[in-house]
Amino acid sequence: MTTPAVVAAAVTALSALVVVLALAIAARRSLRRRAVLHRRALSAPVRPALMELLAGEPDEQARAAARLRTLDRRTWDAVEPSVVGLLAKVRGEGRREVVGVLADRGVLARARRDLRATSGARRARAAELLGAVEEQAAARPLVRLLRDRDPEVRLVAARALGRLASPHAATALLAALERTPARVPGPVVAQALLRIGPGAAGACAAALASPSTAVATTAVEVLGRLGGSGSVGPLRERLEQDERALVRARAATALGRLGLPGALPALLVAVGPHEEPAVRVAAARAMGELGSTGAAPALCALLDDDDERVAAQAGPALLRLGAHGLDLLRRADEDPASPAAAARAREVLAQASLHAPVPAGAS
Amino acid sequence: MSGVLDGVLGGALDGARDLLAAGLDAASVPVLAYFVAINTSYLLLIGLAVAELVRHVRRAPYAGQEDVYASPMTLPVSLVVPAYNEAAGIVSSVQALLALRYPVHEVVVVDDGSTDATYEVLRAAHDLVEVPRVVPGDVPTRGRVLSVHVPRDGRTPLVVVRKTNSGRSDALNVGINAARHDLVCFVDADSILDPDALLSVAAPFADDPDRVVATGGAVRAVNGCRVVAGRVVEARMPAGWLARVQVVEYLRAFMLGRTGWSRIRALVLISGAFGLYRRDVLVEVGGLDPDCIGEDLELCVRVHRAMRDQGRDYRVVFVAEPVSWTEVPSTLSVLASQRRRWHRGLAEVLWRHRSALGNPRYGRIGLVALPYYLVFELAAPLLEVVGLLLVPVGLALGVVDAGYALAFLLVSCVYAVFVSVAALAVEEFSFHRYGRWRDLAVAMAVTVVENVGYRQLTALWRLQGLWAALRRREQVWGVMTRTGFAEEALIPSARASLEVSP
Repeated sequence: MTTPAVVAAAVTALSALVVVLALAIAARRSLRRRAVLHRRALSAPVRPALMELLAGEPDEQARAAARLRTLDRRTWDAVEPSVVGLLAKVRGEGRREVVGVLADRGVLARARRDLRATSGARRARAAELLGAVEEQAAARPLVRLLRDRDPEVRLVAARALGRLASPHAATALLAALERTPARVPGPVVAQALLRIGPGAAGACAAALASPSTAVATTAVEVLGRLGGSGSVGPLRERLEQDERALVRARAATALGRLGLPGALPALLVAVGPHEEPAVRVAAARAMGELGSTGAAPALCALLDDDDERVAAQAGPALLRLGAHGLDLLRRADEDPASPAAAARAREVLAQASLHAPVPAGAS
Repeated sequence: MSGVLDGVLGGALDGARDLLAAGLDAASVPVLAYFVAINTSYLLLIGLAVAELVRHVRRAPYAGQEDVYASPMTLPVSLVVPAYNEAAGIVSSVQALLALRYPVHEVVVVDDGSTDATYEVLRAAHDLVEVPRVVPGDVPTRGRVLSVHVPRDGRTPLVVVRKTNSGRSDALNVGINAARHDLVCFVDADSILDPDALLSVAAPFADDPDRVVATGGAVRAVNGCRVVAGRVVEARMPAGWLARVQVVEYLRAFMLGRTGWSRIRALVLISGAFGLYRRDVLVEVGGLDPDCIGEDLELCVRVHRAMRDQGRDYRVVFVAEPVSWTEVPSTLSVLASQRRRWHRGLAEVLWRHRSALGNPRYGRIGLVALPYYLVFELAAPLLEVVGLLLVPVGLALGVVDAGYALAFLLVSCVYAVFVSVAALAVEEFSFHRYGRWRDLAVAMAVTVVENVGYRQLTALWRLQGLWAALRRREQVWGVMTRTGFAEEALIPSARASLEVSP
């Protein structure tokens, strides 16, 4: 093949590609607009029913749901996304009606089938929908999806299990963190467990001493956020005995969130100079959250700590102790022996003079 | 006498012709190979970007952005805004940033020794009071912190740090020190962000918290767009051709370039106009380098190197969702200055990190991304300009075959049109933000028009930037003269970030 022939072929091929792409752009735009107009036209008569489901009285909602059940196939296909979208907007009776419509129209059955679809996107979409309708019967297949080959599907399944709020899923959710890298991100598992609520506390307590750091830290985090005095003992044990600094730091934060004075002795030890910086920072902050004046002398000493991050926590923590802490901060402000502590105290006192307390730092 | 002169001139001409012919002959094969390689790399990037965006669009219904918003586990963000003489727009910018939809975030404005009323307008708008706040020295800085201010209400999560002037990078470093949250987001004061912008760029941190260390958002040109109350409500093409070409250029760079690089985990450039980093990683690498012009690129490369030196499993992710909008130059002089600066920055960064080039220790960054930037970004304008000069001379002297030159020019132009149209197609099939047929027609016209004049001029400016880097001349910061949007005047400011067209 000669050079001019090669050039001509290349130019022709590229020009053809350009034309094809341009036509594809135009076609895509036209089709999308037509689809939008088509959907709008089909769903316009049904819009009042959707509004009634969203904001109507119970009898209006029931009537609207009955109307949706009798729609022809084409119209239903046009409004189905809007009906699914209502799940995030309606509560109570209206929500029950929406779920009933989705069940009767076969949408939920299709989603249950799709949990085994070949396409990862379909499995994920199905899991998302079943979570949104809180379909309890889907708990078992969703737990199975925590081991799906597609990480997106695993993530959506974990979120869906959280919405189902089934305590039986708690152990499986924590188990999804065992491998490295975890099958599901730790924060997603933690949020799901928090949605399950107190029912997840047992599984979390059992997982505290897990050899997997991800499992242990997530369990600690969730117990601290769930509340409950029963968690103080096990969390204190983690703070005192766990060999992993990350777990100890999370345990200190969790004890602060629980806010019960029984945690103070362990926190006083944890702010000691022998501890890892991250643990000391968390323990100093937690002592403020406890609000116990027994923490005051230790926090006062920390104002002058060599580690800036620890010292930065001591001032706001003292402020949270109330009048006694405020008094100690004033004294530190006037103490010429330690300019660094005075500067810290001044910073916190200035914040305290504003209408609201010092914004909490990253936790 | 004239005969002798003619003879001498003729001889010289023959010599030049022979020399040029020999040079062109020797260069023809390498130039052709370069041409094929660079275009193949574009094709690969297009393929990668399409694969990534297909995934992005498919996962949109279950991306879980609302879960990120509702989760108490979502990491809080400190938005760091460097401000130098931004009095005209800083109040509306800060209000828009405070109003972003995100569970917990604070705005840290670093007033870099402004000589206008930047601080005064902020003080008046937010009733700022000075607090004796201790700014930690986690990252080394040069400018001296003069004072720290917070709103009197004690609730608005805003901090204004006033400091002596020391440049944008150093101001950002002061902002990193003042930031209290785990994630730090760099935002230009003149950027316009969509309400969910922060949720979008923070989502990868929620989905993969152990590995993601940085994310970058897509930046688009705001010129011509309808802006209401500090938000882009309708993307439109601008009126001038210079800005129009840049709209398509940004689409190409972000939709194809960065999306493609992100797909193969070799993204080395996060725009300083909208980038999110883990604060501990920024502290670990020492923040931005105030002596480097291409500081955004340099920081990202340094983060990559630090992570790989430590053997960490990490990710730097590009978020293709168009969420950040910035004004692009509408005059040739400002554009020229910007492109010289960007290219000089690229040269300096590659020189600084030359030990990583081709170094297997740095994996895809050392073996693919950085060599690509060296060969296909840094060197490209040199070849282009040399070609532009030599080919006409060669034609005049009769040593270049006119048919061959024309064919080569034709193929390269059509290929350039194809790459640009591919970017438009990717945009249409994914985000389709430009809804009007008129805008589509203009964009299609741009794909042709930009090949006549614009590409040659930018090649020349980039070459000048390269030359300035080689001569190590003192850096001169261009001033970006803002012309403002349809409904909101923007502020003159200096901005340096490195954009690289694919």
